[in-house]
Amino acid sequence: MSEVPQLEDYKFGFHDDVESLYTTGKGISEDIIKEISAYKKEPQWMLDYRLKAYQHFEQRPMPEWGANLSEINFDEITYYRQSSGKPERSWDEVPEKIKETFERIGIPEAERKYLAGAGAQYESEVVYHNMKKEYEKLGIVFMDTDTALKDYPELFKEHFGTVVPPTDNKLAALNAAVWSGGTFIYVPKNVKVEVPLQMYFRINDEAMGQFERTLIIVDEGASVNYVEGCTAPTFSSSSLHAATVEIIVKKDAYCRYTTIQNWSDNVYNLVTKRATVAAGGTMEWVDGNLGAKTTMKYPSVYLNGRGARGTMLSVAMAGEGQNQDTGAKMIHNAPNTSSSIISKSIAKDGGEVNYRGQVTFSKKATGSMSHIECDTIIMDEKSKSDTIPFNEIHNGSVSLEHEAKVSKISEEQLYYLMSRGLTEQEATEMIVMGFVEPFSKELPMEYAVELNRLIAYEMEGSVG
Amino acid sequence: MKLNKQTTVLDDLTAFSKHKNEPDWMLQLRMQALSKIEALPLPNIERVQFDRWPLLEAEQAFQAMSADDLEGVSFQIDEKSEQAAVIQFGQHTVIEKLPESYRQQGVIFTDIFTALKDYPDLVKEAYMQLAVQPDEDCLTAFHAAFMNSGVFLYVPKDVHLTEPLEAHFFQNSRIKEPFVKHVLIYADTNSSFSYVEKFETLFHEPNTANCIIEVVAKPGAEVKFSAVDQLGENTTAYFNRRGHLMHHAHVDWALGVMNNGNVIADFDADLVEEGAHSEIKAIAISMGRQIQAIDTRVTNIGRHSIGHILQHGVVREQATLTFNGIGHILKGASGADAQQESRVLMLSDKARGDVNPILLIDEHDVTAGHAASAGRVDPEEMYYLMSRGISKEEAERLVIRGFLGSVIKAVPLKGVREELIETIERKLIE
Repeated sequence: MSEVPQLEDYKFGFHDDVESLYTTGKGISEDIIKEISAYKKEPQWMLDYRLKAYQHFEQRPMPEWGANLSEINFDEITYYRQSSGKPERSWDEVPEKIKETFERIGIPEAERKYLAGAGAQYESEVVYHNMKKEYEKLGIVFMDTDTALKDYPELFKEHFGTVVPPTDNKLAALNAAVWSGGTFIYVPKNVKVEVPLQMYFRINDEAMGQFERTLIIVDEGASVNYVEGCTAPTFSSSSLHAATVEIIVKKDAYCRYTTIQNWSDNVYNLVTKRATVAAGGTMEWVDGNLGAKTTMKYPSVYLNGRGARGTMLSVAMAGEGQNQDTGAKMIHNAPNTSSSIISKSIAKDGGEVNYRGQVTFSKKATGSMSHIECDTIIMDEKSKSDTIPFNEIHNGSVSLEHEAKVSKISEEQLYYLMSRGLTEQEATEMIVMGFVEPFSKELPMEYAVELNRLIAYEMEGSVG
Repeated sequence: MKLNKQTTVLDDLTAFSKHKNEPDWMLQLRMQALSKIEALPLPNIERVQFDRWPLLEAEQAFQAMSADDLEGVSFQIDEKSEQAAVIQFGQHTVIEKLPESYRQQGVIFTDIFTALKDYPDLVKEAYMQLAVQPDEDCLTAFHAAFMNSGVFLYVPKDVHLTEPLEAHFFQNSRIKEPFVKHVLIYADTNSSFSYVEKFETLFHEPNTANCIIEVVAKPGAEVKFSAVDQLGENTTAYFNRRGHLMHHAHVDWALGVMNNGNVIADFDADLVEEGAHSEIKAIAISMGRQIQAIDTRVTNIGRHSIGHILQHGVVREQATLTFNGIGHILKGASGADAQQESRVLMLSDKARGDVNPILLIDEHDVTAGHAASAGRVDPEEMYYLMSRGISKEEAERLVIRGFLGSVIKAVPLKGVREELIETIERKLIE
């Protein structure tokens, strides 16, 4: 039996000493929101929007379902910290220390090799953003959200907050009040980007709050493939990541949004992700949750136009002290829409992994269908898992199929593999890899390799 | 609840208990429950709004029985049959029949108040002690306080009965009177028997029904439990059927939920000890504008316990049917198995169906799974039947029969199977 990995083994748990250029310090108030907005030189409407959202945040109680959030202390969090001047277009311009961080994570190299564009956010602000010339020529906009507010004020105002209103939930209200950074993408009509655009999020400091805001607009007939990753150093006090992602998929457009979440295990990851899809459009979420102390995230798709399609493919893995409370929502609001949810969960070393889902067929969803599959492996006696799917049908002409399984690693499979000369460790790893394969095969190759490496690492010491 | 006349209610309750010669512990249980109703919440049944349903109307729960009640109604049983039967109308026990051979073996099958008088200790051991607790929520408390009729069935150790025992409960809706029915089934160690119960409403006065049915199965006991619920359209009902299963006890449930009014139902099996095994099979039809919401829960507490749920339902017109299936495996229940299958067939564009298959797993060495589906009648199946010259209505009936039939054929008692099929036919023609 190998050693149980120590916290320090988290590959991205390092912390760099980076002086901040500007910070609002700990805590949140109307004055701090005004300060952030003024520092960003925002238009009045955005300040008003933030303040209104803050009021809602103050009034709204913490969610009482799902994971335990009682240890979050909103007064101990730093809501805004800037570490470099402006988003640079060349890595050479990025401050040395920060550049080093991303070098260690491997972002510049990945960008050179296989990305159409890449961005990197450090604490509250985006430090680097660049897209290859050939894609820029197609009229694609790929930039940080703050710059988009300045450069594309009309397009921005038309869509911002239309998919996730600040009143949606307490954390979405907080994000609307203090948002900073994030990605803005606009893909013009009929433009298709096959190569992924990537954004990388890094929290570096202790008790930091990261509140990025992402807005993606895929115009009619266009397509985009967006990938995000995230890491943070390991500290004893918790950081908070409360992002909001809004995606608008227009008629016949396509969007795939891939996340590999690998926050360190002191991060509360409470994210609101939602897409609306018009007639003939497709939204695909590919969502991997490996890190964080606590995740609450249920990406949703509102299928609003005839024939719209939504899919969710997810993997969640919870180890010691972790609670991955994730799931998906598919809301069928138009005829002949379809959705599929495939969720794979693994709980080990006392981890808790829960699936929570909602599939709704409204009265208008005639001829629609949905397929849902939730599978869970519980690795040991300390771990647990709940599967809580709600399927609500208001229309007689639809079809819904739902299946779920919870089990331990199959002894027969283990025995079979071990009889072929594999060690128990190798056999277990192989079974888990096979279990998550429907997910990993959808990832860009480099990510699949990384995912497999991460899972192999997580599985170390899990046999005993 | 209108408790502004709290003292009057308390007086009525005390008078009723005295009149029935209840043991003191029963009066205490009633009074304690009464004092808690207001503070307790409604039970949680996922995705169903019933907080405005008239489920807490206690007025006239204890009105004096009158001989007039029975005017114009008559009940008969086959005198020659060797079957044990109890028939109740409102608060009256109209017929009680127990074959002499059963009596000699120590079987008790009688009115709950008679049982409280004649076998107080036996009733006390199990009445709202093991399966359902009076203070779980305001509906169980309401029940404990206002229980106004019911039966007690006791089958002693090692007694095996071949013929099913049958209870037929008619709600008296000629008058305003809450129907607060308690069935307590106590299956002693290694006993085995079948029990069938039927719920029906006579007349049309809008009323509340609060029925709690407890099955306490001691080690090795085997109970086959069947029910056909057909309360009337003006009855708003709460059903709670719960099994408490000890070592290697085995309880199979076959439940036909065919009421005509709004209903919330909680069907639970608590597998408290090693090897306990419960199979819950339910079919339901919702039609018109009615709402029927069914929570079916199996809780695996004992090691190697087995809980399976199979439920099929049909929704017509603007009705609603909700199936919440809950498989809960507690820590320590290693080797447990929780499986469920819930399917809803939607027959109208305006119907609403919910299938929420929930798994709560706190133990790793287990198997658990669920399958759920909702959808319309398969158009290919319909087309096939219609191409054989069968009318659309008839074809639809055949498909429904087949859909519900897959559960019915698993029901162990032939009589119950026939009864269910008959009820379905009647409902589909309406």
